[in-house]
Amino acid sequence: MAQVEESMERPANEPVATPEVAVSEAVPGRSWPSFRLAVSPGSQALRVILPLLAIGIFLLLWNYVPQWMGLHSYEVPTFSQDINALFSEWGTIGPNLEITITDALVGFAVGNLLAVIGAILFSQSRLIEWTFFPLAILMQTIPIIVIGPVFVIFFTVFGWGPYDPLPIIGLGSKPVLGVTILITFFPTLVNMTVGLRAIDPNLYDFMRLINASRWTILWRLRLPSSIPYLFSSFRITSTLCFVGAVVGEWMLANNTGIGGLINLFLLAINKQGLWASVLAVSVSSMAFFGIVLIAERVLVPWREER
Amino acid sequence: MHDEHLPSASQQPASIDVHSVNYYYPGKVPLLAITNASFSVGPGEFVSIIGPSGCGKSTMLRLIADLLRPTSGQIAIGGQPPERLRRSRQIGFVFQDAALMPWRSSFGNVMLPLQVMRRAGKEGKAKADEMLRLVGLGDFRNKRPAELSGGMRQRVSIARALTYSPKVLLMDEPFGALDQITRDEMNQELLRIWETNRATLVFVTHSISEAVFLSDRVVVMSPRPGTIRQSITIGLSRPRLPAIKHEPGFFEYETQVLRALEGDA
Repeated sequence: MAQVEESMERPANEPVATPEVAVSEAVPGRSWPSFRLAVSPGSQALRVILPLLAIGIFLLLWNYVPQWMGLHSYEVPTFSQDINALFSEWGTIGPNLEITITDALVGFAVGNLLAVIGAILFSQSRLIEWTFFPLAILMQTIPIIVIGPVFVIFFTVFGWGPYDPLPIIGLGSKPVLGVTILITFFPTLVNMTVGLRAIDPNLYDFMRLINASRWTILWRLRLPSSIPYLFSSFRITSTLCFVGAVVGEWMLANNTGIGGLINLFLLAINKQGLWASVLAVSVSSMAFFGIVLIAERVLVPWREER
Repeated sequence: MHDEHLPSASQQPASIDVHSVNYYYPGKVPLLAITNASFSVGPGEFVSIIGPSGCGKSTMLRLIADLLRPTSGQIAIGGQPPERLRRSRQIGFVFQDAALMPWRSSFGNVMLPLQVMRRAGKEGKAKADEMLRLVGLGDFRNKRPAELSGGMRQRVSIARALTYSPKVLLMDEPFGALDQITRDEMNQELLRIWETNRATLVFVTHSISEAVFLSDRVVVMSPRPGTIRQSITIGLSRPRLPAIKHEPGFFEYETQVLRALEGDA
């Protein structure tokens, strides 16, 4: 125990090693800058234990406080009832969760892709940025609950019908995708526009010095420089896309996906089922967020600890 | 060690002629940075430009590199405009902060110019490795900049500037951010590398002893608007070893440069 305490104190007492210091004794085979290693194993464990503790306490409060306050479990079901419902209603929740996950992930992929393309265009021409950036902001300021019905009408008018889960490359339903794409588009557009411009000016000069083309500068300098910014945006949009999917499904009211299920459970006054389906989306969304974080660690190892 | 297989970094060193150059920093009120500056550098010569902070010495280097264009006056490298040399990729440049790509290894960074020039084949890779060995980083080819010390990062930067065999090498206070000990070591290294490659080298610094130790000639600039005050030939023999700094001749040159800087030469 004494040892653990000591190692936990170390980062505070020891000045953070600057890269210069790190390399004068540069250890071959060490693949991280040394300030990463300055975080001792003890505090690493704390970083797992503490949040789990916080979530645990929150769930306990959820389970008991409403009852103490005199609310009946059909008004606010206890957490354990929700968990039970998750299993008993899984036959309904499972397939709908699949639809929601598909809506969210396809929206995430398409929204981010469009945003990256938009940001690249912005980075290549100030004129394009000046012309379209205000439009992007304008679209962002319109509440999703207003935009959703517009998508529904749009798809209805073009004969695709809002009440059929419409296949787009065999996946998801189009009006919902409209919402998820829109909701993921903007954060990435903004982050990537900044990221593609935030290049080391000396590196840019070096590229000019060796007569690199605009395309080469984009491919070899701007895009790699912007990847940390892209992941910052992924952190946001990886959870937003689930919100978008559920809200989209809920507005469509075609009883599919978790959003549709929320409507059904509300009508049936099945609040356990309602919370169970919300729980299912939350866990999926957290899992995707986790995957994004892991991907960032693997793909952006040069990024410094923030 | 210096056998025939060692690549020569410069194809053929070129001379540099700067003729009555004026440069205004652009802005609402253009600021005169350099005025009526003229000097020349012979082929294969090592010339340092020294001057007080903000005197336009870095700007001068950028003008030679065609990263900036003079407001008036002419610059010629080997008789040609700098733009032509830049376009044919014959200018090497080392920045004060190494300006490396943090996502690339040392090797990747040295390969960058060759990739841009579409010479990244087997020959290019061999050349990049050779350059890394030349700057003493053979064992660090797979390390990223964050894993290297400041001195090592500058070595990568020098290797990157040499891989494509430029005719002139421009260095903008490359060791300014290093501690004194590392700096002395890097000076020694630079001379060793330069003596095997003999590119025309223009070196910007604000350290008098560094300038005297390294150069064939020291060009002294005045405070802004910068102009050339004096050009002092350093008659110390080569190869130069650290011990030379204790010789009386070294002090004399240092004093001479200092006087020129102070303006009472």
